[in-house]
Amino acid sequence: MKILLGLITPTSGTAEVLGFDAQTEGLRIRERVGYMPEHDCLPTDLSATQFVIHMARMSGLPATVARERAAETLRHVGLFEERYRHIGGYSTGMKQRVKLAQALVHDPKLLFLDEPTNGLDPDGRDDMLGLIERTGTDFGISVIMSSHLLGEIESVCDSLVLIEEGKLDRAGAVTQFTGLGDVLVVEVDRDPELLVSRMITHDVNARVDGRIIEVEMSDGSATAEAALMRLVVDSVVDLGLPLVRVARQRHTLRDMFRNDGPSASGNGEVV
Amino acid sequence: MESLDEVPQPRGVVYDLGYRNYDGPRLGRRYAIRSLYVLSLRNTFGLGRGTLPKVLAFGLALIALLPAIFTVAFGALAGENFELVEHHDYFGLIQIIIVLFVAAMASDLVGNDRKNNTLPLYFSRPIKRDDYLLAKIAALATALMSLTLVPQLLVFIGNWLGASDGPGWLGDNISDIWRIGATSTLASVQLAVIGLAIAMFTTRRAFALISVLAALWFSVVFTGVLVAFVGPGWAAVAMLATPLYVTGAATYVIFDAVPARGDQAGEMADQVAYADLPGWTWIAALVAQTAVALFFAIRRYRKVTL
Repeated sequence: MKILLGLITPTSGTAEVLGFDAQTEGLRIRERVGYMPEHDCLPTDLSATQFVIHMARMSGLPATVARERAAETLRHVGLFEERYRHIGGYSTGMKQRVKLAQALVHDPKLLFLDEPTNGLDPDGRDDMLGLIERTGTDFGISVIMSSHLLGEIESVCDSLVLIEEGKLDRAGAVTQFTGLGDVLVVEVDRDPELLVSRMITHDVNARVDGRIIEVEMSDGSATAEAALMRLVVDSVVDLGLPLVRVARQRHTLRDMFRNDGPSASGNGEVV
Repeated sequence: MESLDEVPQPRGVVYDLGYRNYDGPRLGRRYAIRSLYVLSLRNTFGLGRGTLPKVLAFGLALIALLPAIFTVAFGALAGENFELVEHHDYFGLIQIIIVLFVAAMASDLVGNDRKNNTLPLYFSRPIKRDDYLLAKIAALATALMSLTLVPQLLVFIGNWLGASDGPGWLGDNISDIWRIGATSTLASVQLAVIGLAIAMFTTRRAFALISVLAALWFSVVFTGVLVAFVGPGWAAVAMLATPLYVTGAATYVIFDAVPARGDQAGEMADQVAYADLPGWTWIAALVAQTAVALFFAIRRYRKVTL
């Protein structure tokens, strides 16, 4: 992200943001993008209003516009009366909101968010993700965010780039990685082996994993799914097993890591 | 006449305009630098901050003004030109106040941004790294002017008002105006750059403060003692390397007030005379010190990792 902002020079290669070269036209890029760093970066002895106004002016907004937009942006991120208090007394969630506000205040074309949900509790996390989603959909600003929390990426992002140990691993639309699998997942309360052996007599592959049975579909079509579903349900009724659920398996981004072995630390950068 | 009842009562309506995009002008780099300069200057005087920074800044500025205020007051009371303190002596008189101000403000100006990690936010704005430094130096130099230029002008105005022959006195002393302007500007810029350059090398405010105090104040004490024991040549070298000696000497030179060959253990003016260097050397040394400090400061900020 810092390379894209023109703040550090890459060891090799070039980068282009909004049609500007990151190394030589950093100023023009930085006029048009917003950046929310990962770590704490706010002065403690200014109020949120003062600080966001100042940051708006640093981005080139005239003084009166800066004041208007600072007030509006703080309202959008959900800071109201507390914005007149010194930032030193804020909770982590409020500070994250101020950080987002300062990145948004000059109406950038593109927003870089570095781990925006760091240090937030589950509620604050949901709030922040909601804000980010609105930024993309309602405000019309493209967002690039980095996160190591795959659930977050699944819920707010359209596409992703997986970078592992500094190397590009894969890239594509999020839906591409979270599509439906060709497996029915069946959960029963007892004796899953009975169901597995019954499936095998019907020439259907199945394996057991704890109380979960994964039943393979012949192909990914809806008719195959319906037929297999009927077979599973009939068999369960026939065997008198207590059924908890039966559903088609849905891939999560986590599976990308499962298939590749043990490496669990990824950095999804997502547009 | 309408009765009050007929006036339509305003009804409270909340308009949620939603997010609005901005298509207006973006004023770019120069404006950003100016904004940073203005905020930094306000910060030095504690405007928009708590009580303590205000008290500190205005307190020091007030103490620096005291000799000038006394001069004006006694001049007015005595009814004749009463020179309690002369222009070329003023910086020497309030030296410690200037040093304290530089140390406190320099460590504050750059220390806070380092401590709070605000630099990545600044450098993701349309400014370059040198611009940040420039704005901070300009802010501190301007703030310092309130300790260097303002009291000097006050003394000048006080003396003028106290003179029995106002126009005649003005005619005789008008050349002091450019001397006041030149010495205040040189001293303010020199000390601002040196103070900031030192303060930039540490992230801890307390260390920054002590380092600046040590570099500016202890160096004067040290050189003062050293000069008493060495010959004119080494004395000159020591003084040329000491920021406040150079500030003082340049001021004497500009006010044409270097005494005759003096005493090596005497006051700063006598010690400067003892070194017996041509006047321009001191001004050149002041510029050189400023340039060296600026070089290190720029290099420091180009290398700082975000």
